[in-house]
Amino acid sequence: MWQYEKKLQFPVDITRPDAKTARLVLTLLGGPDGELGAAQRYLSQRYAMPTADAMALLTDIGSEEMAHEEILATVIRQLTDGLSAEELQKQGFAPFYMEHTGGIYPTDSNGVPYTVTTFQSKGDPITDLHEDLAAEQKARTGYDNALRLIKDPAVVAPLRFLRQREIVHYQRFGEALDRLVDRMNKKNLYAFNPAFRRS
Amino acid sequence: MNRKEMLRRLQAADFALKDAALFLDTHPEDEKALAYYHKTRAEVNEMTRRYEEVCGPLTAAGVQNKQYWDWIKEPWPWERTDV
Repeated sequence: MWQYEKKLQFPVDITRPDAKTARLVLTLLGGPDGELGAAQRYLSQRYAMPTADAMALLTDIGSEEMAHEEILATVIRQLTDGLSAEELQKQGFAPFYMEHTGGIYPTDSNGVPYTVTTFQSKGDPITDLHEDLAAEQKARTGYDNALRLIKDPAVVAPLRFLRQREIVHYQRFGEALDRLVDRMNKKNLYAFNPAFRRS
Repeated sequence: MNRKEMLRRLQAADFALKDAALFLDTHPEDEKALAYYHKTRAEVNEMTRRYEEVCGPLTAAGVQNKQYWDWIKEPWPWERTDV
């Protein structure tokens, strides 16, 4: 069960619309390494976790990723809100405008819609936690790339916050993996699936 | 303190609480972290109570008004008027 809170996890207050920047930010929300995929990945994977702390961590981080979707959607909305159709076109946003007008829709920066085929839920906690570590690094690279191109401090602030969260989540996933491996059968040298034993 | 300042302080405290919870997921016996969590949670509860009293509900369950459904009244976080 979730409860919505009418506040952002990090404040967003953008006063200078810029659709070119909005287009760059799109992929951080709805691209292959974006926040939408992160939330779906962790909230799908948590069910097969064999330990209470891994279930808790995936639930908590998955929920936080939903709050990150909201931050980025707010950034995109404020970067495009108030611009005329002509201005949107001049700033390279016409294809998105044609499909979604002033709405938010999860795509990458090329307009490719979000797809769940960008993540896996393998039902093997070792496999899944390794994917999660990689996912946090891929997302962090995405923020690094964006921060090289974006200079407006009002946009940079939430992106820097979100980048830091990728690093914290990577750290927590690493600890969860260590804790899981520590508690595994020591005869399972190659860390085969410790969550599915039916034989 | 105006609405925006109150919200900023609440956002900061609530974030500290969420971040401490992640840390505790993988360090459940850390007494320092637990003490920090409980202290921060008390602060967040108090700040939430005061914010909702002055500025309106943060969750639909926080609506106090018997005459009007306040949940739809205050701006949403993506509206530029306030954050």
